[in-house]
Amino acid sequence: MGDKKNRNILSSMHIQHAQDRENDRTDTGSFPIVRQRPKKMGGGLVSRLMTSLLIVLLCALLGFGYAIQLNNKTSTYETMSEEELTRLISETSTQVQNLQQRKTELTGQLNSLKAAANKQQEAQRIAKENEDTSGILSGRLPAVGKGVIITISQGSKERIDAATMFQLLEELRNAGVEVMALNHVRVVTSTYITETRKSLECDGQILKPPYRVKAIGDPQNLQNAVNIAGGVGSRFKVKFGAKVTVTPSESVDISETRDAEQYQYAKTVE
Amino acid sequence: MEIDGQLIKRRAVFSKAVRDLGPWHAVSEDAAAALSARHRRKVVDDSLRLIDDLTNRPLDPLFSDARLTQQKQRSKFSTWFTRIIVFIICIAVGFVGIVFVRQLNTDPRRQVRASLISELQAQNASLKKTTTEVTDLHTKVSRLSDSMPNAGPDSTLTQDEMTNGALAVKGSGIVVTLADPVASGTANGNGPRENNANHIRVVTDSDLQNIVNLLWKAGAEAISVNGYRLGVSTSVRTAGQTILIGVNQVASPYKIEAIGNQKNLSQAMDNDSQPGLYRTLNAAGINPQVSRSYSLRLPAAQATGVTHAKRSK
Repeated sequence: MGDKKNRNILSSMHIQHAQDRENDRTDTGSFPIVRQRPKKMGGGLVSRLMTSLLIVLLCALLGFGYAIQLNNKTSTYETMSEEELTRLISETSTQVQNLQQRKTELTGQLNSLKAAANKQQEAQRIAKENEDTSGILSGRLPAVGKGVIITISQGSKERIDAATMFQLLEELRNAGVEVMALNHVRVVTSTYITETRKSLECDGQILKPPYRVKAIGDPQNLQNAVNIAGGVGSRFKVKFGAKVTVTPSESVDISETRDAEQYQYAKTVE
Repeated sequence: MEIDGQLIKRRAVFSKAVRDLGPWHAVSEDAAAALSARHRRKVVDDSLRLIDDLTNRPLDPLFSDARLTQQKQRSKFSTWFTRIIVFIICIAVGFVGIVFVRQLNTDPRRQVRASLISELQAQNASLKKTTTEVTDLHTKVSRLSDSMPNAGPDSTLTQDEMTNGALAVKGSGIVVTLADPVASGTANGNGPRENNANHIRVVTDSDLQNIVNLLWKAGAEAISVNGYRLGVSTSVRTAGQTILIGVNQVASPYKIEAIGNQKNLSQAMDNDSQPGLYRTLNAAGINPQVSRSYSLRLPAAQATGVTHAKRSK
């Protein structure tokens, strides 16, 4: 009985299987039989190599361009605004004028030296003249002239820091200052300002507020340098709450002097 | 699947994925009972089957089969024609893109600024010219006066001029180098009103002022920044995003050369003596490098005259 049923099932499965094969036939005739993977269009070793070469070349170009962009130092003027450009132009022209003046001065000296009857006397006179000029600049000689006096009171918000004070000196230098003194310290090339625990220190001397900067130079330029919008003057006011007054004066007397330093390491080059 | 007694594997239809599908038809109760429990679950569970189909056989086998056969060969002309057309379209799109970008970047005041820039460049040229003339005259005059009998080189004058930075000097000292972080490289290339410096910090004029200040304090005798000597009236400051030494523009990397006692100078610029400075700089990705040099040569600073000040005694 069981055996018969089994055979029955088996034969029915057999038939079913045959039917399934017929039904599941995928050989539709729509597609040709493929016996191997078709060749890719031009996908040879050479073209692959060419592709990677091209990629390498493009990457190299990209890197090169980026490096150039990084090191692009020309036309930085392009990034400045009109105000900055105008300011820069006026500053440069002031410098040019100063230099022109110095040039006429030197030309005059040279000519008089050549023409003078007593050359030695003339040379001494010129040497004295030049010595005075560089002595005034180097802080060896006291000086007087028109300029401004800047008074900066103690900061009401916080203590005035050395960086801002140094910035003030730089702004004044930029505005064409010739001689400067900060409180009782004559400002020279190598002047530094630092902070001590209680106060500012300038060239080894303690500065106490109110700070007073005497500066000889074109009063208008010097005033502008401090009072320009967003400049160092407003920084004193906004950040430190200090009061800044700039008083132009016809005669600023700077009697502070200092001895020339003895240089050990720097030697002149011919 | 065997055809002509040979196994063909390439066609998707004959792949294992398809072979494993199994027959799909109504099964009689008896037959179903005969199948193993595992097999029945595999065959009968409709939803599982659907998920399985979706994940493992997303493409119709016949479709992927069709993809395997040779495409209809196109003529060489049509291939190249298509390529050229695509190329032209790419160029056109790129070009139009550039035009748009330029249009968006147009600065209505460009003309004005261009004229200002050219004026500034002319000024700089004349400044350079006058400087060389003045230096020339200066050497001529001093040579002439030095050549006079019993009037050798004036030591006071030399010392003054050294102090003012009016003479070129050489000597041993240190070199401090600092550069903008690389990521900020594009910050300089933007329009004047965009302030990218807010996003990524670059070396500012106050950083340089700070370092110069420190070097003077440590007893530097002469300092130059990127080859521009700091004289008595040379300032370090900024105009827009450009740092200027006097009237000369400088850009990253900044190289500050200082002549003086190497030990004192490098100690003053040490990480240990300036922890605050180094912390802020390092946080911004700026790493100052200090190196010693035995032969530094610094040029003379821009010459200056005295017009307003007079000797008072």
